[in-house]
Amino acid sequence: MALLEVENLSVGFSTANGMFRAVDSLDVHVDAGDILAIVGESGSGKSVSMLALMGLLPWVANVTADRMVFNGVNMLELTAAARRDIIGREITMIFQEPMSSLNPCFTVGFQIKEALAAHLSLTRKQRHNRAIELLEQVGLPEPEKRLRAFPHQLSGGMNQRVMIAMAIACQPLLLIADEPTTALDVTIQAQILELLMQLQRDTGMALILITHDMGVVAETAQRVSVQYAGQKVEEQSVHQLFANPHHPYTDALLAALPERASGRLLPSIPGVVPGQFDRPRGCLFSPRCEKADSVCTNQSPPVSGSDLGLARCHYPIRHDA
Amino acid sequence: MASTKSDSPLIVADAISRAYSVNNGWLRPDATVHALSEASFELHAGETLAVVGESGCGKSTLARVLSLIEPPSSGKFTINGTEINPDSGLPSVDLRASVAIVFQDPFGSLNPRQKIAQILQEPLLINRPTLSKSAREAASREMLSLVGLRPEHYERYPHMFSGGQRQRIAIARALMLDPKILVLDEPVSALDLSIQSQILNLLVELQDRLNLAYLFISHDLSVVRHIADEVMVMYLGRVVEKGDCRTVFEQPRHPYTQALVSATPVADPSRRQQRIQLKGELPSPLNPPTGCAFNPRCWLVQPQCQTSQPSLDIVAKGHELERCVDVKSSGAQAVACYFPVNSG
Repeated sequence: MALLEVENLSVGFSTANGMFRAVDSLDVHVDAGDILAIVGESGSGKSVSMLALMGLLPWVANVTADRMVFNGVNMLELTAAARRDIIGREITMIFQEPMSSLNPCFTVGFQIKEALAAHLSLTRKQRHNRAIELLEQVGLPEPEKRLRAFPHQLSGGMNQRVMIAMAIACQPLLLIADEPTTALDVTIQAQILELLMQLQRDTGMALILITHDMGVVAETAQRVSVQYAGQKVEEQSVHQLFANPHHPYTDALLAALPERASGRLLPSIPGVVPGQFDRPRGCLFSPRCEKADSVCTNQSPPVSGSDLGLARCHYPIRHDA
Repeated sequence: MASTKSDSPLIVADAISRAYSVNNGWLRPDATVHALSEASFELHAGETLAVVGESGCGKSTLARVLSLIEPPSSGKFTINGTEINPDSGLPSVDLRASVAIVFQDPFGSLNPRQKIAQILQEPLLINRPTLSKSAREAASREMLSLVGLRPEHYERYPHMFSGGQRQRIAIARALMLDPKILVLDEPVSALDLSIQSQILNLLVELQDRLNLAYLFISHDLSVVRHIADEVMVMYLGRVVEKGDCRTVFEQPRHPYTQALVSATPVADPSRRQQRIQLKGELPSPLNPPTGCAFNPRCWLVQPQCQTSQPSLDIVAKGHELERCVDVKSSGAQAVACYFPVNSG
């Protein structure tokens, strides 16, 4: 059974100049134990879609979906209290900036125990022991001492470990990691990614990894969903996506990677991601696409079959050869 | 790679160091941070020297010293034959004009209250006061087209541009005084992947056309591998490995370089590799370990590494060490390690 099923999720923000659609008819499907990576450039709606799922968007956001079911519970009809019961226990999230997601006024021990107190009925002593156990699990040396440390006394990598400890405190079924390593150095990034993968293997939780780094995707994910300007343009298994991309955007994005370049000049995608005011009429990628014709500029493309990686394109790239 | 290679280097750096004193709290003496220790290198016209390393390794300090924002606290370097040392005082206007810098964040480095026209003309206004108004305007309009922006952008404000376009403006501003050397401090790390390739291409084109020397600072090894001729790996203020870009990436000899290369994610799922896991984190520069700065995290550590600092020596195949004079891009490689790894 699918752990998370989201169909036709749209998120709009009403601005002074009309409605801005940050997420546009997005489908997400995650099984238990799955590792799904969501890649996209800034403004592609990857974070907003996950925040909408968590119910963390401010009231100005207009969230609609045909279906949003997590572990058999319909997330659309939940009361705020019932939602809070799931969020932070069964679905948890870690963010990009560990320094700013932790409260600077409280020790990290207090903040981890707070998560435990909110969701589990443990005694004070049990919570303390569990917090030490969690810090050991995320690989922080001297956990007893670290519990009394404030976030500013720890480095970025250590703070991210604390965030992960809080996120796995109640043994979640789904962990959403929103750019967990973007603010960290390469060697620390390798440590944190390894930790996340190891925790995922040990606990069997599902993991949604939001990132813009194709290298991180290739090294960690099982399935990849590519987003562009609020829409999912392609979804495939990681091996298939890197070998046979079907959407022209994915193809161009992979070609633009410096490590794949053969010449001195990189193949680049002209133009920029469309904003609120310059959204094209047909396919959102058409102004930047080499293969676009009059059909692309006038009609929204259909979603292809799973043999073509669910590519949202009139002319998906076929690799029959 | 570069078409014209002049023999005399534009920059010769000889053991430049930069230390800062930091307030260590009430009643305690100030501590000293050695942000940059004894960096020596040469930079030729038309070539790119990349500096890689993690945060706190002294990359940006090196950029600030070379772009004459602050003097070195010891050692000396020459730009086009003019020597700069700790006692040389304020550098001349002409010398300053020969080095320009582009910063990481194009949102923070452009004044939001100036139009593009003003941003581009300001360097000329200050440094070439004899230039007429029309000459300034002509020069700045020409520069705008050189970096791939359209004439109608001339009268706009920075907030009307995307990140990639702003970085183009920052590059245009840096080029206004015809510098020979461009210091690029993480120029593409704030940009999206599809924009990153546009800016990298622009930099390559400008280098070919203007025969610029680049000091390219980055933490992204795949970008460095693409753009650099020579690479310098830094750790805690010291250069630990230096050499031809391909050689360093394909046969890293310093354990830290090896770990860095192996930690960098490769965008190829069929090549998921066993990474070298470094223990712990970068030590505090206020309290660096004795001996080799990397020894607490090194998996090949020997007693010698904990007591004395290895010098940057040229490595040949095998383990023959020679005193480092300077590394030419002939494939030679220098490494600051007593026990360099034989890889590849």
